[in-house]
Amino acid sequence: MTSKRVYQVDTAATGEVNEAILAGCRRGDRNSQRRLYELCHQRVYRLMVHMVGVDEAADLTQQVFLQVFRKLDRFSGQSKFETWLYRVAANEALQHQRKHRRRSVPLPTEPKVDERRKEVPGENRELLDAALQAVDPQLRSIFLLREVEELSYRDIAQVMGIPEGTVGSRLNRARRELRQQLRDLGWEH
Amino acid sequence: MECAKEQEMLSAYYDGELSSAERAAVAEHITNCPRCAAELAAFSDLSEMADALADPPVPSDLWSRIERDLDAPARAVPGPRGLMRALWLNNPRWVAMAASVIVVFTAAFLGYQSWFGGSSAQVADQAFQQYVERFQRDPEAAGRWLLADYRARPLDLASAELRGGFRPVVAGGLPTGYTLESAHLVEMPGGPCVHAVCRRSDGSALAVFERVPKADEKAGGCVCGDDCCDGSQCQMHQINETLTVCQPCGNHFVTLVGARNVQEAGRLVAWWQRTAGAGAPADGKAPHAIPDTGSRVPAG
Repeated sequence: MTSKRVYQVDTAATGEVNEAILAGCRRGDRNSQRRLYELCHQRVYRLMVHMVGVDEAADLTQQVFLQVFRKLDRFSGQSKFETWLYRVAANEALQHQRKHRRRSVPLPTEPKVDERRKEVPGENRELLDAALQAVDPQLRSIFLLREVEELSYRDIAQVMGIPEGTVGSRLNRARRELRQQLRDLGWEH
Repeated sequence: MECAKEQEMLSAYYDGELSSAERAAVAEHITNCPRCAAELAAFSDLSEMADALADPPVPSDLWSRIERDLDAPARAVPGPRGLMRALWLNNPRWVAMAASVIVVFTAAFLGYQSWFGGSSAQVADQAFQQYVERFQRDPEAAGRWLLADYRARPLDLASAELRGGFRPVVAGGLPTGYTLESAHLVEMPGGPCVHAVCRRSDGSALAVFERVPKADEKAGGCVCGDDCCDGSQCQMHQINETLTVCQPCGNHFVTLVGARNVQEAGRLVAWWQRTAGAGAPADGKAPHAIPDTGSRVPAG
């Protein structure tokens, strides 16, 4: 007869992932796992939404955390845990996209070439989302890791498994391609 | 104005990743280069738009879905969507095999009646349950008890070829992250069984049982007997905190004691199935761990 699991959860999603939490997760302690999830789930889900879209983000986020809890022994501590987490998440998103080869979906409204668009925050957000879906997934990842997750070039290199010296040039490409996509969608500064 | 070099450094300049000397050089260039200045302004526009990307609300049930998958062995009947979707994303072939997974949460074993043979089934049931209970407390002690109570001899898996040319699955090696600690042929009431103890990289133990097929059997049947499964599907049991998984593996049937979850069991079986055609190493040496190429999770 199994014992009934009872755990208390600290719902304050503040603080950093520390070794005590990781050790608890390695032991399979549910409190620690829940704590880790609370500290990290927003950033993982956010990345997934912008990488693969809101329809698939929850499933992939779920998969990321299952991977993390199962494979935590592979995290050696040589990098920050958050960097390793982003790497798991980015790998998951890129693998998903390789399988499903998502296509960008243009905005339903036709752009008016001769008219400067008003800056409406909601529209800008949608424009950028559409432009992001149109660029190469790797470049999309790098842009999101820098602009949204605010990772350093060193951390981005570790997440993406690329030389640190190439992060700048890839961001150049990402930004230029996004700018071109936005122009194609009718956006002008 | 030629500014290929400065163009290349523009993002690093914008993100503050240049040395102070490089930064000063690029800054001076920008003051005299409308093209680079315009590009820098475009970077800033993108940043503003990225700032406007909303923090999407996380579905409120996401943790419970994760927890459900983590708890999968403890449930009487698994919720198919969460568990199967997680397995599907990992290994579609495993999903096809596990489509008939039946999870039974029980304090007593069901279906192990004929594991040790008909007339002594009840004794065998109790014996296996005792082994599992001992395994939970102390895997080494459980092994010593098993080997002491039943006739057992060490098995050299490199050259092991048992009745009818049968080679246990563990003779084909183990994926990265597991090492073989010991292997014995144990004379159980229902027939000889291979008992192997494996260690994960964190030192925890996992036991693998496999019944040697009888003379009239083409392959080893389910070690759990007919009441457990008909040999074509997976059956899982949990005794206290210990999970056991009875799993067809090609022409073999393995019982894993101490699997962490159904995913671990599935990965091991899938690995054995992939390497099943490799046969014994040509040099006759003991099998060695082979990298699990299916794994996606990097070392950190």
